[in-house]
Amino acid sequence: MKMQSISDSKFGMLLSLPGLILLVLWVGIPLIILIGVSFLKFDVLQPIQFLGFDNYIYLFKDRVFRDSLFNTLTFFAGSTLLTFILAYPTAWSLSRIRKGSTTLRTFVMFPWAVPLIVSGFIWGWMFNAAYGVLNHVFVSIGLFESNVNFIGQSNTAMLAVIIADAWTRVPFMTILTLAGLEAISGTLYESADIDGADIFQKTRYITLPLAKGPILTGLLITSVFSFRTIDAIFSLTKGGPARGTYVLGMLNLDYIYNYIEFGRAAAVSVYLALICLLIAAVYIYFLLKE
Amino acid sequence: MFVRRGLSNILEHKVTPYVIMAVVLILLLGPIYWTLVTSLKTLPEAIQWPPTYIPENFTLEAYQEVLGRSPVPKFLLNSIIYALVTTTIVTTAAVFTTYALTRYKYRGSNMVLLSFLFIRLIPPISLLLPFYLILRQLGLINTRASVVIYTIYLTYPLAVWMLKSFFDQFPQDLIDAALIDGASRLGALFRVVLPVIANGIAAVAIIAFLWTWIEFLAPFLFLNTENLKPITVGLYYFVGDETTYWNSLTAGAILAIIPGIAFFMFAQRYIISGLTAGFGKE
Repeated sequence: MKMQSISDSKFGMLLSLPGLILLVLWVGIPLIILIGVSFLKFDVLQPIQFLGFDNYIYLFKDRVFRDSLFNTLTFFAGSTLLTFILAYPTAWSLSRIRKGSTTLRTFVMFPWAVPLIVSGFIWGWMFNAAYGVLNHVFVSIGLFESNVNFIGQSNTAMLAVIIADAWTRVPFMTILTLAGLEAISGTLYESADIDGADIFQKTRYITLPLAKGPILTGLLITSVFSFRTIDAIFSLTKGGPARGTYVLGMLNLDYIYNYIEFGRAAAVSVYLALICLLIAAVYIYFLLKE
Repeated sequence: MFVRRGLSNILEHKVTPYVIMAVVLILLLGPIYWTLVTSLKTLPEAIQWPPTYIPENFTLEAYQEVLGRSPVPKFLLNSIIYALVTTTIVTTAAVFTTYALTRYKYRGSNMVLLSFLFIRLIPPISLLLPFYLILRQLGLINTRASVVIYTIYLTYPLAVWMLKSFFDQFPQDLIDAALIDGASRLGALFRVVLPVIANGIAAVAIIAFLWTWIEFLAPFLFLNTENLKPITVGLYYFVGDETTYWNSLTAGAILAIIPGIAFFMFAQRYIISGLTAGFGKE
């Protein structure tokens, strides 16, 4: 066989060719084009023109950009926090339940199967001002006197999109946290029990330090994904009301699809990528600090 | 101190995990239940106030509407095509790449592996514009290929990184023994490695499938013909300016959720092992 005659390293190079092609054609070239276009005035009407950093400076001074940056940060922080608040107790409970735990795990995974765009529709339907089941529940238990138009007000609309986003992220965060919890040896807890430690001490001195890696990894992924994903917002509020849930991703999409100003869109994309990398860098710093 | 002890005892009680799970399951499954219930109502009952928690007139008319008189079957078929094509290409190519990168290292092969990790930190939404411009230049806007080209970019790095941990666990001795027995390096991959890590590959394939299935923005941006739309984009068919057909929309939503749910029911353990393998080791 001919293959046999080439060296191992050449064989490796040849076999990893699909990956190398992908790196260059699918990521490298688009990245170069993105950065290139971000320095241009590029729309359908006028001839293409080199602008230098004008797009970046324009955006930096633009109120819509700054508002959507603020909304993006609120959205991703809220979604990550809510995901963790729900996922940690879930993982903790699953780690203690023996009977029927496989079935429970399957059920917990279900929201992960829901496309985010569908999650936005589902929560929009449940938050609906006129027919929404959540309004019925809240009014029935006496939380509100009459129906609330959640989607119609900026603050509650932001809360609604955060819920719709976090809902689909809880399963994954739970799985990673659970993997971390289950890797901790039971004898540690037993000796802590003998010393009379309560659950808060055990959580603080045993669970959190030892499960730190998987939990941080889960938070990193949840953060990065909710930072850059706009599907739930798209189908739930479309960025409204009054741009109350308008995030950078929506601005990017508007520049491509509605305003057709590719230079601006590219600059938004670059900002988006840089902030995303910054967030990731913070987590990775804490992960590697060990 | 007393309160803290008391709270600690409550949390340590063996019933507590079950209570927490009951609450969590209501929060996690409630929305799916409500979607299902709405889809089994007539439109008047769906928008009736107060809402009925169990359909009074249980009916499949929304599903008959969606499957019989709307383009949803076509949307579902498109989703299946996009997901299957992407999964086949990505899984096959990633198996070769990962085998090479983990077992036949060359100068720079570790850099390649790290690049795949790094790529995943770049927001896909940032690359939507260059993909759009390239596809437009190539005349591929509004074709099936445009979606697949994008979802390959989306799923490939993840597939490599998940496969890496399965390949890493495979003992080198077994590969060496096969090589001494006269197998070629590719032969060793097919006859020795792949049968053992088949479950891992299945997990990778399932996750690539689901990841493509749930994609919305790229097909929304690249396609404008009804005939080519996947279900995620197609659901907008039921969103009108004046009325939204909530029973039909929720029926469509249920159909969009079913593949994911089915995979979790039958292959939960593999999917979880794949996810923890792909993400846990970064």
